[in-house]
Parts: sequence; structure tokens; C-alpha cells
Amino acid sequence: MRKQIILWIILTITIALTGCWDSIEIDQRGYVMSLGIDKYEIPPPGEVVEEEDGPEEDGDMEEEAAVPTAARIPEDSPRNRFSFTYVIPNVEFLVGESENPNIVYNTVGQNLYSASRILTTRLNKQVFFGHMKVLVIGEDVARDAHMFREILDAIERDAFISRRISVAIAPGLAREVLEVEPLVNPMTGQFMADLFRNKDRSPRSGGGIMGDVLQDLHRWGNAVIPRAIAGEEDIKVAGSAVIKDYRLVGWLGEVETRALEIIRGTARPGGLTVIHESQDDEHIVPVDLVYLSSKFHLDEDSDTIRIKAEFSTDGQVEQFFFDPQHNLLEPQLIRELEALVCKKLEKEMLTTIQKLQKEFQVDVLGIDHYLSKYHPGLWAEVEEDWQEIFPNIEIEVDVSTRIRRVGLTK
Amino acid sequence: MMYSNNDKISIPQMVNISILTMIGIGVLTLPRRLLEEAGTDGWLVLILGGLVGIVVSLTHGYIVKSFPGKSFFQILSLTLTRPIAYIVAIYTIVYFIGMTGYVVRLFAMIIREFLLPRTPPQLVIFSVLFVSLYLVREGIEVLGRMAEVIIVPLTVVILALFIISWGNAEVSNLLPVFQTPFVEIIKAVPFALFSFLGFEVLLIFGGFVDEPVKSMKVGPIAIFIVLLAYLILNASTLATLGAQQTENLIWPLVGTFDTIDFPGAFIENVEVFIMGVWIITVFMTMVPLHLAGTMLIMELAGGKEYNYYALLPLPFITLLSIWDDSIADVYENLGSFSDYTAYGVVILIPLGIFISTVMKRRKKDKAA
Amino acid sequence: MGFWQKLFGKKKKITKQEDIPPTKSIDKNLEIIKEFFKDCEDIVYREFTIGEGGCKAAVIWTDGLADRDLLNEFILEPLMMDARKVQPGYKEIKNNLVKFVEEKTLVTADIGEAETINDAITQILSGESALLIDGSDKIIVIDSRGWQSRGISEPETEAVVRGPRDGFTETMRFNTAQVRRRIRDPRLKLKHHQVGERSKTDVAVMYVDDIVNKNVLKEVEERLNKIDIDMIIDSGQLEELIEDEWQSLFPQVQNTERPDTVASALYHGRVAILVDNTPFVLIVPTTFNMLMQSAEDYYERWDIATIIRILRYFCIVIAITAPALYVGITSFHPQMIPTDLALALAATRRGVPFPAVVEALIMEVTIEILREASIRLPGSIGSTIGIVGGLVIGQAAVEAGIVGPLMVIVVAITAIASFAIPSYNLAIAVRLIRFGLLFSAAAFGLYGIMLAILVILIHLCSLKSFGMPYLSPFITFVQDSSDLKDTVVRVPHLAMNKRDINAPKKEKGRLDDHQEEDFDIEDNIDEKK
Repeated sequence: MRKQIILWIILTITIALTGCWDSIEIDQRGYVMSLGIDKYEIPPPGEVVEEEDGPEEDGDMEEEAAVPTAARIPEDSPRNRFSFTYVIPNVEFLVGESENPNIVYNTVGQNLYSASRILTTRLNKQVFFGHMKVLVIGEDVARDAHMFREILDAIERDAFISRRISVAIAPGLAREVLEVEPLVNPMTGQFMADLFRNKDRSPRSGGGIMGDVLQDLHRWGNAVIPRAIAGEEDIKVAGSAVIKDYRLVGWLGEVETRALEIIRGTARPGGLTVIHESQDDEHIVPVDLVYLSSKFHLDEDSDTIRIKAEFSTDGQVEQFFFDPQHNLLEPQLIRELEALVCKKLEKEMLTTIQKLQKEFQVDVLGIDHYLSKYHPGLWAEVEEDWQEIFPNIEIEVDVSTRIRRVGLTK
Repeated sequence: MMYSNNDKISIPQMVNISILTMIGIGVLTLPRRLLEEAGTDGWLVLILGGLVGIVVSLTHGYIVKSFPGKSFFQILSLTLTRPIAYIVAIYTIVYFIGMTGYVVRLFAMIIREFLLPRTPPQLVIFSVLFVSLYLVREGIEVLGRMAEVIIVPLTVVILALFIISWGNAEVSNLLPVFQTPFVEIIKAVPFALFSFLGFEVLLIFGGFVDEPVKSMKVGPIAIFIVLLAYLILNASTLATLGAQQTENLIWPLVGTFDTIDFPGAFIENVEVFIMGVWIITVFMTMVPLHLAGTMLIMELAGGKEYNYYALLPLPFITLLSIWDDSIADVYENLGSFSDYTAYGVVILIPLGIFISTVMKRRKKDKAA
Repeated sequence: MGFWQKLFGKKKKITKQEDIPPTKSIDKNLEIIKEFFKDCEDIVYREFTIGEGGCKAAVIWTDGLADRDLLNEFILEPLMMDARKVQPGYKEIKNNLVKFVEEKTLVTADIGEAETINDAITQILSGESALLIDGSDKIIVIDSRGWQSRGISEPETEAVVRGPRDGFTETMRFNTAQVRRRIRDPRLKLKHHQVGERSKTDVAVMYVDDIVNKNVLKEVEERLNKIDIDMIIDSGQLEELIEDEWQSLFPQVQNTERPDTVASALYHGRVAILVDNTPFVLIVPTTFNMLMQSAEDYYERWDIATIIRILRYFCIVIAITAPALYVGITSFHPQMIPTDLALALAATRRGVPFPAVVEALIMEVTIEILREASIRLPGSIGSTIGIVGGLVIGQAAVEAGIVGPLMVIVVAITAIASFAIPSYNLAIAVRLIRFGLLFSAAAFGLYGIMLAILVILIHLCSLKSFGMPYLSPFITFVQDSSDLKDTVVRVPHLAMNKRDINAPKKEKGRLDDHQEEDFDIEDNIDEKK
């Protein structure tokens, strides 16, 4: 008995004293809140940007950190493929001891892992991705299918990077987006994460959740990813990038994105403005809409593939005109407004569908998804050539709107 | 009545042990494996596999019922003569030790991936085996109580987590159904049967059940509950991740919980918490296997004390668990080893015992 | 039970004194007794003659233990004064004087006879008085116990808001009376034992005959008889001697100061062990669940009691795991907590030079010191020092940069949570376990915590208290689901129609056959109308 107790005590103490391989104190970690990925480009001669290491050394030292102070022009070496931007919130700023809300690091590297490793030579903390919120991918990377897929795999494979992070594509450089210090909340990572999470947001940009994007890409390599645009002192997330075969093929504007989101059935509530014309006057009528459902139907009788898409929305009139003459309680007027909303939505959708079918020739509407689930027989026939078939299928749009509330006045 | 004597477990406790032994390592990979085998019709495979499992477990229950209070080795000696009994018992020991090693190895691996990336995996293996040893030394009765204490909180926590994960689910991801050819589904059934492995511990622990008459119930009830759990698990994973992505993830179940996002909660990344819960279920898979091996060894050696015999399989388990280098090797080598030996232990041996019992009974009837 | 012999079997050196039978001569007897009580100056010998010209007699008692008024009025006065005044005179009854005295003269409530002088001595030391009469070889023992004792007061360790306020005292007889007052049932049995070679402490075993579990009762008797020790001062010692697993941290015997708790336990078929000289009564068998209950649960409304019980279980989880979780999460898995919190923690912990485990240890040890010290401090300033010490030290430690502010909160919550555990002996076990968890969290993070929890669970599952598994009824809830009614939840009394796990199965029904009628309260009301 006594021997046992002594044994246990010794065992506990030795393990407790020696075993802390994974223990890193919470203040010893560098929390990468947002990560930007750009394609590495040789800076024009004369412009002093980054330093690159010539001689090759073994191991992790192979990739070289970019130290802004050192004035050397990097060569276009095969190792320098990506340029990573790490945004780490400055904890000193949180307690009001520092002016800088973010610490931004730029590193050139061949891949994410070794770039992060190399970062530790410049940072007295452990790079930690467990609290990453936003991934911004530069346009150049997204346009290169090979590089884009490398990055996607690195992100998905990492056990610490959550599937809930938001992802956006920046026209131009991702770095420019991340270097903005927004006025409202200067901690860029936090700001962008909140932006994505904003429930009241208009549906002008896609969901942008990494897990959903990955899910789409795993299916047939097509997806839409929100677009992040850098401003002077703010960042805008609106519009979206269309990915076809793991490659950025073009952009959708804000209105088109909204239409696409409604078609995909992922749109969050948002507004729409229609112009109501009566005999003598024109009124601008904003309507707040809740997008209730979106359904596809395959027209089985037709020889070609005909898809009928049905949508229903629910709305509230937000503004009409300050004039006692009008009566919004009149069903007739409401019907008119509803018709206007339907018409406008249908038009937007058709334009978007047109663009996707003719210009990008990519099915991000979810029709492939619909067919594979509900018409597996047909899908088996067309799956191989879907890329070619999609631009030629007929898509009909049918929106039904119910305006249920008109606010406090008649 | 609570005043059970030493080394007796009740029928519900036996059911709980069986359930916990079945649910363990396999759950993390199950949705992916099912997709690989039968696409989105995996649930059909599961149900068929469960039915086959129930039939097999009925023979186990019948054997235990026919020899109340007799240990596995005694049953073997009675039915298959003594020399064969020795061979079969050693084979069974190899199976149990192999299974334990497999479970321990995967356990260490996944802990390393999600919780302790830098801690030497050997240390994880040693520490969990130490705790397992502690429980094995306490014997079957404590194991039975442990299973019964754990099962309700475990069920509640796991169900709650699944229900939360349904927030991101898209039910249409479960479609299409009935698309896989029937032959392929039948081919996949053996795999599904293996995901129910663990109910064979009834053979070893059957001698300690306080009401052997009811032992036929154990397998069907346990497998039915596990089947339900698997169906929920498979459906949730498929619905949240979609078929293609599920197929791409090594441990899709963890990915399912990774999508859980509930603002305002104290826990942000649920998967660490999931691993915590999962540690308990794997531990409860490991211990019955370890204990079963120990009991057989003890009986072959004619010993009475668990204390020292529980130590005996440890070196073998450790050796097995650090044998393979990479995760791919583990799934390849140890996985197929335990799959093939399992055929013998789960189906062939009970069948042999069953046939010989029936034949002896016939003889007796004729003699009478 | 082998280890009793191992522990106490060897030192069987005390030679038992031989029994000395009393002689017919009072002088001889007195001489022997005085030899025993050499240098015992609190023993009083009162020698006198009985009646007119009667024979010599003597009364011996221990000063302070015996009631002097009783001795004066009902023993000495009848023997000395009344014997002279009334018939028959001494001469007529000379031959059966002892019988006459016992039957007709002594007007006290309880008398007996001691067979040997040793026996008489033990009785004298327990507060009785011995009457020796010349010419008789019998020693009459008169119950004259009456010492100063503390009055019945409210039990301090188990105070309730609602419920009886009386608590046990140091005198066993008062205690048994308090229990008896609550159980007016002839089937309530009480058996005496004397434990302790020298102390001869009275130990009483109480149980209700038909609902007690006979196995437990037998086990209690056996273990009490096996005890071989010189003295028992408090029931705590007895507890350690009779419990199943003395190496365990967890208490396997419940102790209480409350008669209502004892009575309720007896009604549920448990066995109470009362020890003289201590207000703490032992109840066996004990399960973990019982240690988490308070008497008040049964007197308050059932729904509120249920919520409070759930809260208590939550508290014990906090008390065991909170510091370990803090260490595990902050230094191993910071991705578990919300980003804002993680950043805030990192910001506030920035200057702390120690790893989280040392930080936690510093605060935990400080709070343990405070707790221990505040027991010694005089009552009036004890609580003040506790609060001031906690606040001041916590605040100063944060400002000095030794610990992070969240650590102070964690430690404080942990300390408060451990006070929410009704049973003090379980609470101190929890305090110790906490440190074990802390170390394993420091080594392996969440994995270490889970392993430690598994070890604790295995240990709890392996424990038994007098044959009853410690974790019942949770470990057999499938068969004994009715026992769950009084665990984490407390169902209404109307629904608690079964005795709990302790009672033998056939005795489980509380209201036996007439329960049906009793349940329809509405019907009864209707009939009255």
C-alpha cells in the first residue's frame, strides 16, 4: 500500500513537473485574427520593400522573413510564391497602453506553414490560429487555380483553424484590406468578423463562411465568395467573386449578389426600393423583405432541361409619401406594390442568371445540387457535361410577394 | 436491491458496457466510411448491419444463457474439448489485445491532432493505459457501475451537441436515397457489422451476469441503441457537411461540431470540448477489451488476482500501439488485423460453440 | 476486515483485570474499592448505618457525575432517617435486608446489582452510585447520573432556515431521547455497546427493526465488536475504525448533529450509531448522494428544493474543476474561450511572470490558509478577517502583477462553491482533489482533466459503504428508478411513496396498502362536503 502511494506521488510529480510540452501561457501566444494571402510579386526596381535571402539554407530557414527595415530587393525565386499578411491584435491596446491596435506582419513564403514558422523569428510569441476570424485572399491568388487550391487545403487541414472563419476575396491586394484601421473598431480582424456576423446586414454579399465555401468547392469546384474592398478608413464587404473550377472568373455586383443569394435561398432579410407611379405622381417606396423560400422545379415534360424557380417573400412598407390622400390599407394599392416588387426582383434575378449562364458559364445557383439530390437519374446523365449544358438550360423565375405590414400610418 | 455480491453485474449494466464498448473509435470515421461504401444510402447499410449484428449477438446471448455462471474458457472446454479450448482462448486473447492496441493507438493519434500537438504520444498511451489498468484491477463490478453512471450524462451531452449542430444542417443533403445498387449495399454490410464490434464482450462477461436467463436481451437492446445513435450521427454529419465534404475529411464527426457557432456561449470552439467527451467514450471502449483480455489470460494461467494479470497484456498493447509509423499504416495494418480476427471471435467461435451445444443436447435427448 | 488485525492485533498487552467478587464484609469491599480508586479524590465514600441500630452501609459515587440531590433525598434520607421512623425495625428484617432495601426503601427510579467489584467500579465511573451493605455480598447500583451538560442548542454546522432547531448534545441519553421523540414506534430498537479498553465509551446502535437492512445491521455489529482500541473520544475516531476504506478521501459514513436527519434515516432503514460525549451521530450506510442532501430539502417546497439540489451538484463540479479548467484552457486550449475573452485575458495576464499553474497554486494556497486561519480566529473577527483578507490579498496580488484578475475570480468562486456542499467532510475531500486535478491539468491540459475525472469516477465506483455501493442509486438506475426520486431531484412527498435504497425490497412501500386512499386528496375533501 505504502509503496503504491509513493509510486503514485512520484509519478504525479514527475509528470506534473516535466510534462508541459503543450503549455503556452495565454499571453505568450500571438492570436492571428485575420490572415491575408497575396501572390508574391517582384517590386519594381528602386522601390524598397522587402528583403529576400539569397543563399539556401536547410530546414525552416529556407523561407525568408521580410524585414521592412532591411533594404534589399527580393529576387524572383521559386520559394517566394505567396505574400502573407498576419494581423495580430495588440493586447496592450486593449488595456490602453498602446496606440497601435494591430500588429501587422508581412512575410514572403512558399506556403502557409513555413511562412508562419518563419514568422516566429520576428515575433516573441507563438503564432496561434485558434482564434482566426477572417481570411482575405488576394485577387491574384484566387485567379490562379493551383495556388488557390493549395491555400484552401492548408486552411482545411489545419486542426486549429475553424470552419467558421469568414472568407473574402479582395480585388487587388488582400494586404491593403487588412492594413486599413477602421474608425469604428480599429482592430481590423474583430471589425471584419463583426461585419460578417452582422445579422441585419443587407443581402448584398454572400455568407462567406469557410465551411460553406469549402462544401461548395468540394462538390464541383464552383462557389461564390464575398468581396472585400478597402476604403480610406473602413472596409466594405459587398458583392462577390465567382469561382469556377477553383479559379476566380469574375465579379458580381451588389445587386447581382443579392439576386444570387435569393436564388440560392441563403439571403438574409433586406430591403428593396420600387417606384410606384400613380396618375399624378411618383413615389419612392422602400420595402423591407424577408426571403422565405426558394424552390427549384424540374419541368419533366420538356425535352430540354427546364428549371422553374419559385420564390416567396414577405414584406413591410417602410416609406410612402406624406399625404393624407393615400391609403395603404387599400388592398388594391398593396397588390400594386407587390407586383412592383415581384417584377423588380424577377428582373434582377434574370439578369444575374443571364450573366452566370452566358458570361461565366458557371452554375453557382445550386441547380446542380438540386438535380443531384432530387433527380439523381437525370443528374447521372448530365453530370459529366454539366459545364456545357448549364449555359443552355432554361430557367424560369417566379416570385410571389406578400406585403403584410405597412408601418404605423395609413 | 443494491447489495450485490462481488463480481456480479446486472443485465442493464451489461447492456451499458456493451453500448459503451461499441461506441468509441469508429464514430469519428463512420460517416466517411459509410459514404465510401454506399454513398448517401449509408443509413440502409447501417440498419442492415445492425440487424445482422442483432442476429449474431443472439447466438452470443444464447451461449451465455445455456451455461449460466460459466466463464468463456469453461464454456469452450465443455463444448470444444480442452486442447481446442486452449487454442481458441489464445486466439481470442490475441484479438482482444490487438483491439485494445488499435484503440489506444488511434486514441493517442487523435489526442495529438486536436489537443496536445507536442506531447509525445507515448506519454498519452502510457497515461491512458495506467488509468485503464486501475479500472481493470477493480474488476468487472466496478466497470459495470462505471458504465451505468456514465451513460446518462454522456447521452445528454452528446444529444445536446447534436441538436445544436442541426442549426447548420441542410436536410436535403441526405438525398438522394435508394440510388446505390442492392448488391453494393449487401457488400457493405460486413463493414457495418464491424462498426458494431464490441458486443462480443458479452461472451467473456456473460459468466458474471446476475440473471443469465435474460442475457439474450443484452445484445439486441445494446445494438439497437447504438444503431439509433449511429443513425443520428450519420444523418447529422451528412446534413451539416454534405456528402462530398464528409468524404474528404478523415474525422468528419469533429468537422460537424466545428460548424457549431452559438454567439454568447462560453465555449467558442466546441471541438475541444467534444474531444473531452470523446475521451470518456474511448476509455470505456478500451477498458472492457483490456479487461476481457485480462480475464482470459488469468483463467488460462489459473490465477485469481486481477492485480498482476492486468499488467500482463500491457507490454503487448503498448508494443502494438507504437508499432506503426503513420496514421495511414495504422488504419491499414492494425485495422485490418482486428477486422479479420474479429470474424473468428464474433462469428466462427460462437457458431462452433452453438453447434456443439445443440448437438450435445440432441444426443442427450436421444439418450433419454 | 483483515487489516484490523494487522493494525491493532499485535499490541494485545493490556492484561485484563480479573473479576473480583464482592465479599460479605463491607470493610473488605471498601478496602478493595479504595485500592482501585487510589488517588482518585473525586470519589466520595459516604459510610453510615441503616436505621436504628442497623448494620453498616456505604454509598460511593463520583463527585460531579452523580446527582447530589437525588442521593440526599432518595437514598441517604430513606436509609438513615425513614428507616428509624417506620416499621418494620431493623431486627425484623435483618435476614433479607438487601431485598427489603431494594424493594421498599430506595425510592429512586432505577436500581440494579453489580456482580463483581470491577463492574461496580465501571458503573461508579459512569455516574451511578454503589450501595454497599454489611453482611451482603451484593452491590446495589443506583442510577444517579446527573452531571452538568450543555443544553440543547441549534446545530451550528447544519443550520437550516426552516426545520427543527434542536441539535444533539454530548450526552448520549439525551440524544437517544431526541430520536425516540420522533419515532414513536416500538420497532425502533436501541442496542448498547462499550468501545474502548480504557474509555469504555457508550455506543448505541439504533434502527427500526422491520425496515432495517439486516446485512448492514449485522455488519455494523461485527465491526463494532471487532474494534480493539484504548479509547474513543469522538465519533470521528469510530468512523475511521468502522468504515470500509480508510485510505479513501471520500467519507463513507455520514455524520450529523440533527435528530431529524437521524430519525428520517432510520425511517428509511438505515442504522444510526450514537457515541457518548459527542454530538455527532454516525449514519450508515452512506452514499455520495446522501452527502449532497440537506435536511431542509424535505421541508421546503419540492420544486425549489430540486433546483437547489441541482445547483449543489453544479457547485461540486465547480469546486473540483474550476482552477484546473482555468489552467487547462488558458495554457493549453485558448481556442475554447471566446476571442474577446481570450484577448482580454492575455492583456490582463501580460505582466504575470508565472505560468498559470503556479498562479493558481499561489491563490489556492492563500485561500486555504485564510480558511484555516479563520477557524482559529475569534468568532466576531473571524468573518471580517476572512473577507478583508480575501479582498485585500486578491486585489493586491492583481496589482502587484502576481496573478491575473480572472484567477482571483476563479479561486473565489471555487471557494464559495465548496461551501455549498452540505456535508463538511465531503467538502474537505473536494478541496484536496482540486489540487490533484490542477496538477494533471498543468501537465496535459483538458486531456489531463478528463483522465483525472475518470480516476475519481473509478474510485467512487469502487467504494462501498457497509456493502452499499457509494454511488447508488446512480449505478443501478435502470432497475431502481424509483430511488432516483430523491437524488438530484426531490419529487413531491406524495410521490415519494417508496423508501430509499437502504430498505430491503419487500419493505419498500412506505404507506403499504392504504396508500391508494391517502393519495386522493380531492376525494377526501369532497366527502367532507
